[in-house]
Amino acid sequence: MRKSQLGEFEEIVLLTVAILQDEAYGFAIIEEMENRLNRSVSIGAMQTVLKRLEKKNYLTSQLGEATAVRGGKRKRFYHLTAEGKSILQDTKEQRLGLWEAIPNFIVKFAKI
Amino acid sequence: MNPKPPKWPLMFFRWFCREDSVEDIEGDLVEGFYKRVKRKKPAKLLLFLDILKLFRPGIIGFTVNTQNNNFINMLQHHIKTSIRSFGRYKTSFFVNYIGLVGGLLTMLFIYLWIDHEMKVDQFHEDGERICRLINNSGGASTLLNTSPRFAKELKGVIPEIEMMVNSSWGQVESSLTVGENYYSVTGEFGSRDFFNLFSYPLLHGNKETVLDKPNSILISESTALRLFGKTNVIGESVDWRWFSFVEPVEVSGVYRDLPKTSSSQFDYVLSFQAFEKRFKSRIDRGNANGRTFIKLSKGADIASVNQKIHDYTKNAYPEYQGKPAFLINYGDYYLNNVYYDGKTTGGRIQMVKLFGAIGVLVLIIACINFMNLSTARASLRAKDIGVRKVLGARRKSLIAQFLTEACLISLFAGLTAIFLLFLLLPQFKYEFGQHIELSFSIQLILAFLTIILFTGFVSGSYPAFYLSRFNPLNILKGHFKSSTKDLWFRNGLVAFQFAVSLILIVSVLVIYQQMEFIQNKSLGYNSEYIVNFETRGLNRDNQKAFLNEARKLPGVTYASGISHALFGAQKSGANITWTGKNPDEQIWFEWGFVNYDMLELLEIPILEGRYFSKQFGNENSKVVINKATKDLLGFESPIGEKLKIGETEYDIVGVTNDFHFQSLHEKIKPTFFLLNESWSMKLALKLKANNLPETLREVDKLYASFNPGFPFEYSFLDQDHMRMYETEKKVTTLAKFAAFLAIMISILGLFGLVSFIIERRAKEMGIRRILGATPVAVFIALTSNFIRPLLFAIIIGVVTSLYFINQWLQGFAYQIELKWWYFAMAVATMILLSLATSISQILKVIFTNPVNALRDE
Repeated sequence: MRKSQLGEFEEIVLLTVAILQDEAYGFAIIEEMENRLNRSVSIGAMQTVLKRLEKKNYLTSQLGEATAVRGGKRKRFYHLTAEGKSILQDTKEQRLGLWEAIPNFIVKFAKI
Repeated sequence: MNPKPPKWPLMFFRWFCREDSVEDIEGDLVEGFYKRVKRKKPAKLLLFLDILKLFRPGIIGFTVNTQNNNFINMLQHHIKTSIRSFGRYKTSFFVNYIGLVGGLLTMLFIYLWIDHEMKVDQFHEDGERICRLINNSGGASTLLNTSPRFAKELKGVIPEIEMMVNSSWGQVESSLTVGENYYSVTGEFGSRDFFNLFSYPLLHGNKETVLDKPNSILISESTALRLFGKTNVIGESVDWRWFSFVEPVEVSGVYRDLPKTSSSQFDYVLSFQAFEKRFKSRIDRGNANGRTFIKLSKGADIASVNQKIHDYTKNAYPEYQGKPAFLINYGDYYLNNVYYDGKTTGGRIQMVKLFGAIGVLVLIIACINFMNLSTARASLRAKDIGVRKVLGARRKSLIAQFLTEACLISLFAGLTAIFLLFLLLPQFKYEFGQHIELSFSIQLILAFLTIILFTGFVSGSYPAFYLSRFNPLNILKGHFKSSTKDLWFRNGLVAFQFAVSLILIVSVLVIYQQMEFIQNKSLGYNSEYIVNFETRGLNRDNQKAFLNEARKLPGVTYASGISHALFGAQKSGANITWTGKNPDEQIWFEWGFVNYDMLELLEIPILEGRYFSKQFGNENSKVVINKATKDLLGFESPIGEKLKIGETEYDIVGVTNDFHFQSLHEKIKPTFFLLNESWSMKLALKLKANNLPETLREVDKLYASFNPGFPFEYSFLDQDHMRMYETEKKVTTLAKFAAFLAIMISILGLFGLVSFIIERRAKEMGIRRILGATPVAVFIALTSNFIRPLLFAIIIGVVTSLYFINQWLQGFAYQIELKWWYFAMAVATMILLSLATSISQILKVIFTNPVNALRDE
């Protein structure tokens, strides 16, 4: 059994961090989600989730260089940890497993 | 056109955000801000909203900058080490904890009580200018009542009197009727300015005019609800009944229910004119039949006004010049209600001080436990202290550590005490008065916190300075020795604890004996099986009929009436003369109107002459005196002599033995009785002992037929008698409670010390026993430490308690003799309890195999 289950929002944040690779910092993640999912997220919600994921050891972070556009403040870049990757993998497999278990006609029915 | 992110929201953000995230999140915020500016969005507003949304757990983190704040750092450390040390020395922790809970519980409760007492009558506006006119009638007798006529004269001659309110001699038990319904109420009288002078806020009505008419009545909010079911009842008419008076009155105002901090509690205020109308002839200088309240003008000085009153009296009433009326502050009177020769000698304030002292003493005893146990443990903590010092701890920080420890344990104990206070409050209310309340206000919380932290500080201070003084070099080399001076100090503290406990035990014993004495002392009359009750609706006409009917009941032996409450009421008259009286002398008498049979009912023995009797005619012009009056008058045989009261001469027909109507604090006063069949305010029935409930039911029925609508509210005379000793009862209860706690805490402390010493000397005792010491020798070796302080405590305790108890007994005119065995019993209790606590532990040492003590690797 897994230690814990990912929440929906947590999963999306983890995936977005994975997409952005080395460029995953707070604001970039929000923008990316807005662009791809058309889902607007407040900094507050985002930061809380990032902190939580970091605490659960699915993410690590370190501070980057300062940039002028940010008023001289440094960015905090997030990376997936091995644990983070493996839980994403698990989640995906769980979903796929569930999808595959659905009898065919319903899938067809759903597609109509 | 280059907008900058707004400053204030960002500063707010920086303030609340957790340390490790403040930089990157702020960066994100700023970046987002510029992006939004480019996209022509309301960037400032959105930034502000973002920040508000960031204000959530997970992001908020008020982590103080620990690198720069040594104080917080050290405090955290102190708290941590304190909690560890509590865990390590569990016995002494619990001894301290329980002791402090007891001490703080007492103190916090007493604080609540004192706080209320101090606030009584302090709520009136311009309180420092509100006074009460009272009479000094020489020596201990000070009359609260004055003559309204005299007071009015004063207003004419003393310009400093801004406002004057006249009132009746006291509140009256009466009834108000609305239609067919009767309501028993306590009433007050007040002249026009009553509500201007006192700050009793009005709910309805204009305070300037409410008492203008002679038939104006104001009722309290709750009385209004009782009578009419609503509060706005101005203009409603009510029948006022008191004694034989019935009068229709009109409600002119409604005042808010009186606060608990008002010493005067009444359900209605009736215009003083209604009172005056009936007692016109009796309101003169000799008969002090009213109370007078005065408000002085701004800046007036009570002392100089008193001088003016004095001067005026000297001219206008030469016969009273030695003992004039004088003003006292109204608000002060509640606490300072005992006067001697016109000067206050205390009163309730003494009880407040006594309670305060008891609270402090019990608390100190608990503090001493902490001091003793922590200093006794010094040798164990010495290494800890030595290492700290070597590592650079300054004395100051060591002191801080011990104080933190003490305050922390005091805080734990304080919270427990507050919790217990909540649980015990109903009991306390029952014992000490319903007005005690535990409602958390800022003031109360601050006061409690101050008491708790101060306790912590006091108990921690000595150990802190003592322990932090050690020389680290000596400690670490193992040369730790506590000096004899410290030992003395510690023994002194133990002695103090035991002395205080001893004093409290003696007090409880003596107070208890005195109260027993009061209950059993022959009072000169027989108060058993006498019920008495207010006349209320029984007026002049039907009183006689009622008494006649009552006498016919099989369970009733006597039925009669008297003009005032038997106990505690002061009713005095001064202008009484007789042949051979020294005209310069002013003597005040107790007196009362009685109905036939009253003296027989009370079984007051007659020494000479006879009681009032219907066999003789014209009994209204006769007087019966007591022995004290006889002695005062100085007649060889007073029967047949005359006593001139006011303008009327009365024949003395009987002399009764002396009796105690006042409390035993007072000497028996000269008293006389006049006969009047219709002046009774109190009726009394002597009942037969058998079938009491049946008889009471019959009386109730009879009362109801005469007094429709009134409940039959009666009391037994012997209970009334004990009611005069409410104060003593409270003191006894508190003394018992305090004595119990003091003993328990001291014994706990002793237990802690003994167990510690035994633990430390286990090896020594093992060696002694192996070398052949007898159990008795071991016992003596272990207890010898405590014998000296105990002896010392006994001496101090006995001497001090002797002094205080004597003082207390002086307050009674009739007192028990102190007997040696009170003290012996207290001392024996102390010794037995101390032995009982230590013996089990000492026996453990004696009966375990000494090898166990010696083999500890």
